[in-house]
Amino acid sequence: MPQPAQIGALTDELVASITNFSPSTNAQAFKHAKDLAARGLRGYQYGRTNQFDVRAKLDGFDEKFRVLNRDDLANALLERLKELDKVSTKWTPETLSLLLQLSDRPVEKSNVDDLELLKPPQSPSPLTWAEIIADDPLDEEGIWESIDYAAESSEDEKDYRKREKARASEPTPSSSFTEEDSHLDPESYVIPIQKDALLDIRKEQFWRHPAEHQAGGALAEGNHAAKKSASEITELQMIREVLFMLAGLPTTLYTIDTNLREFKINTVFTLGHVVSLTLDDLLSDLGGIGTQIYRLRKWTGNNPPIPLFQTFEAAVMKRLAQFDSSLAGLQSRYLNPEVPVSVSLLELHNEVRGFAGPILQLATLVVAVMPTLSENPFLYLEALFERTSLAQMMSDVGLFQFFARIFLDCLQPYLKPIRIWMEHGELGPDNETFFVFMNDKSSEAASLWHDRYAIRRHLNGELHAPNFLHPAALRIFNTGKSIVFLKELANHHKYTNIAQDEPRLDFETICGEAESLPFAPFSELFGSAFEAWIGSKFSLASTVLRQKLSSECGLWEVLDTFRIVYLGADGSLLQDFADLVFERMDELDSNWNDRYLLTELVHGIYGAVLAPGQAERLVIRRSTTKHRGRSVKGLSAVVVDYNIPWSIANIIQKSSLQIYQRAFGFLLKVYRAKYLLQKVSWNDIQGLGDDSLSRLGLKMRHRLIWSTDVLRTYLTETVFASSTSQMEEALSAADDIDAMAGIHTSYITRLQDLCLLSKNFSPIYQAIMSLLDLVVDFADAHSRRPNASASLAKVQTSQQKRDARRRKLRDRRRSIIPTRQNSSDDGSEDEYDGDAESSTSHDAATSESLYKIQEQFDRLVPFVVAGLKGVSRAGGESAWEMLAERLDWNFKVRCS
Amino acid sequence: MPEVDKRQAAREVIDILHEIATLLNTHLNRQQLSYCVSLIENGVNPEALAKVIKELRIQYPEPEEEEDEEEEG
Repeated sequence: MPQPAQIGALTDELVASITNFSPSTNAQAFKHAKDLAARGLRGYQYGRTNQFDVRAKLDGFDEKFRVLNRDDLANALLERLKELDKVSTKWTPETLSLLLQLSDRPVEKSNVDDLELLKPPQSPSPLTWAEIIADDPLDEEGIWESIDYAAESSEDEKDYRKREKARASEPTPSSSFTEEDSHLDPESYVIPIQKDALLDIRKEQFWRHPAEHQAGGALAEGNHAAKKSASEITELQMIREVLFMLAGLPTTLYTIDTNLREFKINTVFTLGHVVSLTLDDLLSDLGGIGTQIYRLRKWTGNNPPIPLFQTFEAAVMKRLAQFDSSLAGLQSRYLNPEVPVSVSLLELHNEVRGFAGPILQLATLVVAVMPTLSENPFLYLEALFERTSLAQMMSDVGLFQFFARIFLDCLQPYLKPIRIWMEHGELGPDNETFFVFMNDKSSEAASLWHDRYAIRRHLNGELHAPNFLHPAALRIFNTGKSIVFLKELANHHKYTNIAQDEPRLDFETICGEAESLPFAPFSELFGSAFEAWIGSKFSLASTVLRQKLSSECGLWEVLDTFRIVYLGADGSLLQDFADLVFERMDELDSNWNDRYLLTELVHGIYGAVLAPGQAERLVIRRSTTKHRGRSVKGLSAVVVDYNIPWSIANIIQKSSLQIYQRAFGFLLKVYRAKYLLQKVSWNDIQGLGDDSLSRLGLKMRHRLIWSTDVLRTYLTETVFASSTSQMEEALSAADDIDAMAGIHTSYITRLQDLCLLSKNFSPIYQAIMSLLDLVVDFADAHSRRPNASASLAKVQTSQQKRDARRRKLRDRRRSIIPTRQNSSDDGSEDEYDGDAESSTSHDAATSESLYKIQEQFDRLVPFVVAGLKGVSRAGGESAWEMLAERLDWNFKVRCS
Repeated sequence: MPEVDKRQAAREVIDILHEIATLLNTHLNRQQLSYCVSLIENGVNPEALAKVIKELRIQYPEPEEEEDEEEEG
């Protein structure tokens, strides 16, 4: 059963449609019709339509049409039926039967042409590329060339249009060029021109037709006078021009003079309500700002080779971009005003001056710095640093932050080589901007610290680095060297210095987060931040290095060895060694200083005491000396050498070894003197026979012993012990290898001075050597008395003979002494007439030499004392004063 | 979309039917035809419907129109 509601609605509509009655106009009639329809439709069961019946009827129609010579109808009907079959539903037969029942003499009445009118008007086919290109072919001259936007101004209308077209058609690729038959009517696409809009736009483009705006009549283009006369534009247009000019774009209002790179005002244009003078002033001010910014823009165009400069340029470009965006903000304010905004050139001027301030300063900085960049690549860094401090002093927060950020941005690439140097000890290739460079690549390891790398300096001695880095430069240098040193020590072990996070060097870290100016001066803040940054790398390297030096390389052991061997810290050992050497010296004549034997001796004696491995490094070297004979100086033939490991050699230089050896030589000579004196026994002296002579002998012995003891004490206690302990204390507290080397060098110098080994003291030293030689003389004088006891008896028999001899001696002494005096000044050649065999002459020689000795002693000691006192007064070392005093006591004793 | 396709398809059917109706000179305009089709699809008997339409046409003859298609019933 059909649904009543739907059917009712549809019925209404159908009725309305057929009868043209609507419920509103003719209600009753409508209702009647409706009822009629409803009654008809309701109801009794109809059978379903027989579709074969329908088919048959349609075929009948077809036949009928054809028979009655209406083939067109028949064909059309057949065609439609075919189409209908494709989309037939289950209701199709019903519909067809309806139509058949409603059909009204189609043979006569139907017209195929009516079908045509049924078609809805076709929508116009879409525009294709072929049609456009057929209309306007894209082969205009020069249309495919790339456009130089900056070259021409927009005054040329033709170019403007060409540019428009080129811009429009260039980016789109050409579509297929297949020609299509356009069955379209081109006329229908012509849109009539809206003349008003075009006139408006033309009016806005004031730069094209300045003559048109003239209040007066038309003026010829080529008329010079006409060009000078003013043409009015609105303030908004002027503002736009100014904004474009500031952004560096070509405008009509300002002409760019490319030689001088500045903007000049085109005085043709004026404002209606402003006196031209004021306007000129304002525009020229803005033009000045624009000029500087334009120059800055042009400067950022060239590509600098060094990364430092590239960073600087990038920073400048970033700031320019920020400036551009603020200009864009201004522009948008005029283009899309959210709140009503007043158009004012003055206001624009104020604003522009406000945020262009920092950029202008940057521009002046660039102009100032650029010419000298090739000489001093850090000038711009220093200039930025200065400006930052200046801005802080002027309490200009914006400017300060601006410059501080630029400075820190530009600093980062400079820190890179520093970081690599301090962390890995490596230098980048050919880095001219870094102040460390490889001085001597193939320097040996022993001079690694001092020679391999050097600091680059200018001709005037200044460091090749920005001035704010000067304080820290040495530490940076030392850190890198420490790393290199450690790498050498560890050989193949890769050592890197990246222990903890390095503190960042950026604006927030240095100046804090606050918006206001920091209270401390920027140079201080930066200095401390930089120190912290360096310190994070430096301290680790130096501590590790010190540890390694102490533990692995055995720095202290070497120093101990030196102390014991050269400086006689353990007197017994030295005594043993000395005794052995002296015995050999006395017994053997020529080969007493045989290297190998002496080296064995040394190893044997010291090997027990020194740290393991140290004794083997000692070697006795034979050195030629021109001192022959019995002088103490003959001991210089024996030199103890030590083989310093390379790592320690950086601290204890090889040159200092010489001083050690000379000090040792000095000490050894004193020991020799003592040894010789000890050999002269009491009896020997007593055996001189002569009372006064023996007294003299005793006295001399006593004084000589005292002198040698004083000297020895002076050397071992005063000089060696105290200086060495000081030095070792300082060394353990030292920061880095430089400091250690410095401490050691100063120690050596002091040692040299105190031991009277330096050139200044050579007279005094020679005098002391002569003194020691006197000892040798003395010993010789007494040892040449093997027949002492024999001659003693002879002497004792004739007292008168002795007296006569004494007188003779005195006489002879008086005559001989002058000659002896002359020849004994140098003290090196102590020729004895040891050829005197006879006992009398022997005795005479002895007493002679004794007196001689006494005399020389009397001469030398005051000389030494005076010299020492003078030097100590001048130089200030109190040790000399002490030595002088003690020698003096010895001397003054003689009175008794 | 199937919705659009259905409508598209339905419209095509109506088009074809309208053409056939024109050929057979049934004096039905498109709208009327669409109402008839809807009624039939809702189960109305076509014979009855045809009878009703004929009755209505007799009872309420339509006024003269300028267009050729519609004639006076």
